[in-house]
Amino acid sequence: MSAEPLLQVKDLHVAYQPVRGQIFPAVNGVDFRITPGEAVGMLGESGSGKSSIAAAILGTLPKGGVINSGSIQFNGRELTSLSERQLQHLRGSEIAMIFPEPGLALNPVLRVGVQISEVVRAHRDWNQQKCREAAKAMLVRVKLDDVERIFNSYPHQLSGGQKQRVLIAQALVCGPKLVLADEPTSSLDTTIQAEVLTLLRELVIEARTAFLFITHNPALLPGLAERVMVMHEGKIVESGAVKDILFRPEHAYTQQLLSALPKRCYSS
Amino acid sequence: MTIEGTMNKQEQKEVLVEACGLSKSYAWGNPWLHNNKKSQALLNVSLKVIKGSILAVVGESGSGKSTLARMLVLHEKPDAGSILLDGMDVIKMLPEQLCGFRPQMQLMHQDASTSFNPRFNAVECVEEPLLIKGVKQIDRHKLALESMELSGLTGQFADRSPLELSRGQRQRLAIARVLVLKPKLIIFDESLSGLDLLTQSHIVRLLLDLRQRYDLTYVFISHDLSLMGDIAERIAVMKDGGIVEEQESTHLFSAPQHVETCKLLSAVPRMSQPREPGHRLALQEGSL
Repeated sequence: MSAEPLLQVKDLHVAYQPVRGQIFPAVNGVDFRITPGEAVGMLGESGSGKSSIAAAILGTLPKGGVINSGSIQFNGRELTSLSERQLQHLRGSEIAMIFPEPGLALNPVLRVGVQISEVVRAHRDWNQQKCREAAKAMLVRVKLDDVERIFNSYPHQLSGGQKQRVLIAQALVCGPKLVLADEPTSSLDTTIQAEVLTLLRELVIEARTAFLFITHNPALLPGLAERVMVMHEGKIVESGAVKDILFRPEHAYTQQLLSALPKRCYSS
Repeated sequence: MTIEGTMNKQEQKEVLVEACGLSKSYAWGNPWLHNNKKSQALLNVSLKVIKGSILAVVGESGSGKSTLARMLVLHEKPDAGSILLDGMDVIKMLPEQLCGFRPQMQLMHQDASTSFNPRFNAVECVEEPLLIKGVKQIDRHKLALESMELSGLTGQFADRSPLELSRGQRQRLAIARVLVLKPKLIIFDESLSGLDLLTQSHIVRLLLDLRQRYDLTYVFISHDLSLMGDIAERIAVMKDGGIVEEQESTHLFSAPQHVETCKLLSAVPRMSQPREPGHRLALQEGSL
């Protein structure tokens, strides 16, 4: 493990303040670090605060969400004190996010090719032609057949698996240093899920991009992440190497989570 | 001859629903431009659901599972084929006659949130099917609360809006709404797939418990073969509108026959790492 962390989160507190009603604390003091090229999994049920952490890193907390205290350092820069403009430079070029629902994350009135090339245009001083070529090259790399047709399609013309591949292309097109994937396969069926996970493994893990994989399903982690953090009620209750946590869980919550897995996931 | 006769009778008694040669196609395209096309959703599907058993229908998206589910609960009529419920052909029945049959077969959807009226509170949602059935108001409220209690929602949830509930609680509310009609057959169309693991296992436990108590028959429609392996007694695999393989669940996992089954099996995420057999051993001692 190299000494310089790429991302260092210290004592992070995130809470949601609705217009009426009580403050809801989502993240209560989370510490972790990701070194360059490391693949880390984050495991937890819905409502455990895992998506709030991803949103806090990107500075995209929904309305009412605030970072109460703590620091997020990325490449030596403090993200919590950056302006919106500075954050925009980071998002997409250095930190990228793959969203859970590809149907909601893509703009329904723009062709997907335009949506990928506009990410390149936002971060590079290239002309339109060059951006489009970069986008097409990326579509080839996410293993979509018939790239020309998909480039000129609207999101509703694509299947769920194709849309998720487009989102992956969009996230990786600028070569980010850190990729956050929030439940990237939860809306897909199991066969497509397996294909998309294999693709992620090839593109992200083998390219040694730092990777934070957020999921509720422990069975997806082997092969995708080296280390895993288990979240429960806004805290990290257990963390360590994937094979230690999944096969010798110590915390009661992790044990409960693992016992909920279908038995077939264990047999080889 | 007589022995054969009685055996046949026994078999007929056990089968709750029998579907024979179901076919359905949907038309799309513009008929005025002469480019009307047909897509075959189901082709000659035959299926038997044994009383009190759990059957799983597994397949990729687009394989026709949901169409089959809608046919079985009579939301749609097949182009060809017949459905026998308790030995009676329900396809040929008149709508008035069907009214008595519909409550017996219930369908549950994947995301319950889209099937609740947001202007109703929880208990009103559960009451609605009884209202349609023509039950008196006093009984309705009582029955609805009882049904909610059964599915694990206490009285405090009665006044809440279904939109305020979590996904797991909403799924429980949907179960309550289905149970209130005292059905014989419940079909779950991907009802478990949107939930996270812990909630999923709680709901599964609840369903298995309810089945024991009320002698229910379940058909699960799913793409998750690993989960179905834990729940179902028989598994049918669908591909392109037809059933390609139907077997006892243990047989299906040990000796899959069809390519499609193998494909679904290979998509099951595996916990064990083949390179390090020691971990699998540790696991068998520990958490199972």
